Amino acid sequence: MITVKDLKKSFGELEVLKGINTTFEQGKTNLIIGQSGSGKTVLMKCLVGLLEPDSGGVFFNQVNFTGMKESDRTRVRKKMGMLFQGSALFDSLTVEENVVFPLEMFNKDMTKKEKLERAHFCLDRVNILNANHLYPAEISGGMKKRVAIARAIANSPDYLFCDEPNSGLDPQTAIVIDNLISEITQEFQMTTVINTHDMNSVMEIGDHVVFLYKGNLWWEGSSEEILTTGNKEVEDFVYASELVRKLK
Amino acid sequence: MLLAKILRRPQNAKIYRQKIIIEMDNLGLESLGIVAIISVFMGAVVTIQTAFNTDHPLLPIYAVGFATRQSIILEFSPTIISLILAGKVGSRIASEIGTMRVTEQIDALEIMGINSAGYLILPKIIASMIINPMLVVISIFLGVLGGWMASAITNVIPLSHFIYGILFEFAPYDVFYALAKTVVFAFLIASISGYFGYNTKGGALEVGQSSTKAVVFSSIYIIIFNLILTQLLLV
Repeated sequence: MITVKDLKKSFGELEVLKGINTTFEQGKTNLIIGQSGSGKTVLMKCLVGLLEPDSGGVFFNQVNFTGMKESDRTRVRKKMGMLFQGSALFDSLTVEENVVFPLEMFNKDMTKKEKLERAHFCLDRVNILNANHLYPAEISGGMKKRVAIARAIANSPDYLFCDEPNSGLDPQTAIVIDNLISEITQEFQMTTVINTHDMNSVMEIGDHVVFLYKGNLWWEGSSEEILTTGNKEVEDFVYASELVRKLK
Repeated sequence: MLLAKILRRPQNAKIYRQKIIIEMDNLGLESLGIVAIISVFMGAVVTIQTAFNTDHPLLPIYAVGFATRQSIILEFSPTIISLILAGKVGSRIASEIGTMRVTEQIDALEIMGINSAGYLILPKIIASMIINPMLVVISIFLGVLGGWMASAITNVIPLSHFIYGILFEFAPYDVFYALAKTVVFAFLIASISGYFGYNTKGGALEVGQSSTKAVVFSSIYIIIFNLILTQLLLV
């Protein structure tokens, strides 16, 4: 479980996060949604420690991550996996080597064979084992996302963070990736936090949805509740597309 | 601060060792061709120029060989080759790490709990400090060979006099001086280029700018440290 308490972050005069309070529960797919510039990415970066908040804290199972020393923070980070918007696969490594990499760094007790078996299990889980000897430049965007998911779960993380997992993907592939993340979350009982502005994702996999608006946590609830919230800003976001308005 | 992060204890010594070997290949062996070409021609030109500028009855003919050897060992091989490597290797380091920064690969390393600065930059520094002196030793040999070839082909001085000058009053300390300078220059090239690459912000344009800054600043620091080290080691 991840608890966010009164999280604030500014860049100069610009207040990006104005005191966020929320809880992301284990075994659930938690979505952070909102317009561009609403503070989603900054919140995500504060959660994983890539940005230091000005005040407030992020607690992983009641342990304050924000105030930790770097060495303690490294220990928590070993329990995290992250899927980046651009996949962030290592160009110089093959698909298989990308997945083995986190295992190589930290699992000195595992034999080479065990590491390879684990990598193959993860690649098989995301249905991309057949591409294990290809380089990232040789595979499609959707395949890169799958490899990135396999790499993120290689070390059996407790927390999975996904930054815009569907960006640049066609709607069908996006649904496949969404469902994969949701299945893995339940299968491995992870706390998953996804940063997105894709309403399809919200409806497909959103167990808990957090709506950010101008740096504030404006609304939170389930994916069913979001359709009937009555909150103007949320409705403007949800029904922004002509197609969804017609369906409504 | 970045240097402190780079020099932190490696999280997995075995992987760092493997990376050092890979970097020695990438940064050193791949530069062997350009080092060889420049050294041979540099040695030849130094020999011919020295021969034409020391054509005086009071100067012994073998002085050409002596001056060629001293110029190559003391200055041309360690400094010029390091400047060449600052351009070739420095831009490679800065653009490689800069690209990793803008494509979030460095963030991915950090999220995994890896000391990204140490993992990416330390092996490059160590590899450069090992391989660059080897390149300079090769450069010295090839420089002298270039001078020998020039004297043999152009007959600017008799070959026997050239060889006598090359062997005349050889001081091993000069080679130590050249290698000591090279090790310092290698550290400067890899650490400065790593710094600019690691702190790249933005996109492709900024990666190019980081690469340019890495080459410019590495070259300036090499020139400054050349003066300091010469004062410290030779005077």
